[in-house]
Amino acid sequence: MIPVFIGVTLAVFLMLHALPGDPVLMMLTEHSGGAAPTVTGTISQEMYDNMREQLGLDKPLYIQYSKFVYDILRGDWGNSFRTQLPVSDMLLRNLPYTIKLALSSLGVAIVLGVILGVLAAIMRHTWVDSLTMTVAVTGVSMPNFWLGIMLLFIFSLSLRWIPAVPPADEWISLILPSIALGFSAAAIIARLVRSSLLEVLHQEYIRTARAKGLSEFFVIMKHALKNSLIPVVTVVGLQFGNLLGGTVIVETVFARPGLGMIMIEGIMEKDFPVVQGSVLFAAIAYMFANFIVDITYAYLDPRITYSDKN
Amino acid sequence: MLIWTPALLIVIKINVIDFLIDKNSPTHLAFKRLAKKKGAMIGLIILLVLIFLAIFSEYVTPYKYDKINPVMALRPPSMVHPLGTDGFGRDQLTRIIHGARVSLQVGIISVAIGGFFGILLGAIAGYWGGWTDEIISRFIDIMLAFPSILLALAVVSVLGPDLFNLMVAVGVSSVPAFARLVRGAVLSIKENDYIVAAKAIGCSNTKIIVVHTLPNIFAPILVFATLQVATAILAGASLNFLGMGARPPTPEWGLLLAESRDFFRRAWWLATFPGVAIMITVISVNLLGDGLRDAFDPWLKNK
Repeated sequence: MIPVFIGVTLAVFLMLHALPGDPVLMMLTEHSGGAAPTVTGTISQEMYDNMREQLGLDKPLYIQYSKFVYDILRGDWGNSFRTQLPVSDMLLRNLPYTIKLALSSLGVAIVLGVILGVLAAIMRHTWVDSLTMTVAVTGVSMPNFWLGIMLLFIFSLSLRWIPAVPPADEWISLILPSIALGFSAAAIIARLVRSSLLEVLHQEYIRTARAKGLSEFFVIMKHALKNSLIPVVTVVGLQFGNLLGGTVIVETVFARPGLGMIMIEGIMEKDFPVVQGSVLFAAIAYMFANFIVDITYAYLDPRITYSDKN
Repeated sequence: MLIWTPALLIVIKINVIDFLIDKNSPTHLAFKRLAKKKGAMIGLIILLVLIFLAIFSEYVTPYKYDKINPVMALRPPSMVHPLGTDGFGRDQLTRIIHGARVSLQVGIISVAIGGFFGILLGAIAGYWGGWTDEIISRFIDIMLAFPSILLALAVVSVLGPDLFNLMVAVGVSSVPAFARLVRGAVLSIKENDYIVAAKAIGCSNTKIIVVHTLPNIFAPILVFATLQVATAILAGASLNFLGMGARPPTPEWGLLLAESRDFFRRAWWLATFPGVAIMITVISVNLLGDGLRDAFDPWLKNK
């Protein structure tokens, strides 16, 4: 995990240097109210050098990088070019909205996906199965932002069940965005649960469970489902990254505050520290999600260990 | 890119032409199985129609895609304008048909970019092993640490919003997945006797990779690349929706949806049909990809 952390911070750090244009001039542009300055024109060489020193850009790259990592670990994520506010404050203020959205859509994905997958598996070769799988193929092929627009149309404009722009702090504001975001992940999970459950249902211990007279419900819920969930956990972990990335788009559709909104604004306004901060934050969150997935594996399957004891 | 042209021709010749002629070859059998799959064939037919429309969009559409006609602005679907008109009175059906060109381009070009670098990295890592593999694999891990759409967004933000940069960005975000797949596939075949034999007679490493390795892992790459086209079309539409790619008046589907938000309450047809177009395209690519996977799977398992 630590090598990946170093690599990720390095990549995000180098993004600033890969930008076309001079960051010093970019900052000075923001200060001078948008007029593009040149070193010889609107600003003096002295101002330029001061700013360069202030940003630490006069030091060699490796020193800049170690300072970057040190600052990140200390919680100083730089200041926005545009508003001069600390990026860490902006991130923390918007973070709860994004986390709520990502988790609730993950919930939608898992609940909907497992239910549909189990239904399709136990009613194999019936219309339920074909309908579920048709919904699943459609689900993976649907752009989440379009689904969001359609949900707004149906539930906010036509049926008027949910206000189009509900207060972002209330749970009602989560319903449509989390369906829009979680639906494609639900479709992927449903397909996987179905095939994985079908495979498990052929195993001998299932026959044993049935033979000893357990009800079909108990056989599926207790014996089959738990063992069929291991591949699902991997996919849930991978899907969490997609959901986290997807918040950027869905937040735009529903005009919700969040990480995505400040990231898009940052890109549009060329406010680079904000973009850097939000990308880095998302990558770190994703790393943690994968870490949790690894732990969940070991819990679901006691045979998996991460030490060399056996 | 040019050095890959002969490689590509060799791969196509060995896999497609030779095997299609040889009736007992695995590829021939796989394509035969594919032809029997209803879903895959439906996908293929829709896709061919879309490609036809994309190439000949100027000739099949009744209007010009950027022809402004204020009198006809925001008309609902009718006989004259089957899918209605937008805020400038432009015919939406025309714009959607023209949009097929942009979306298919995004899908194919970004997968070509991602596939080129991903296959290159994966083949090098898998074939050479050792510290080369170690470095490339760590590099791939780092790329995989970013959710792919965010990776694409980050690349676009560095390169600047523009349609070609968007294709590069979507391509870059698919590099790690390609590299991983190819690395694994190369690892699984590189100990085979024919590779050892090729080494023994003194083939260069490049020749072994291009002539002996890549044609033998053609099936998983073809399947993955096909499914990746679907992902790339979706990712491209998303980025265009966010305004990170095509500029108006380009009739790109994601951009059409973004523009529809201005008339959200008045014009349902503007928000509905471009999404349907994206969905139909992506479904057909996915159906074809799923069919290819099933058709090639027995062959993969036998290996």
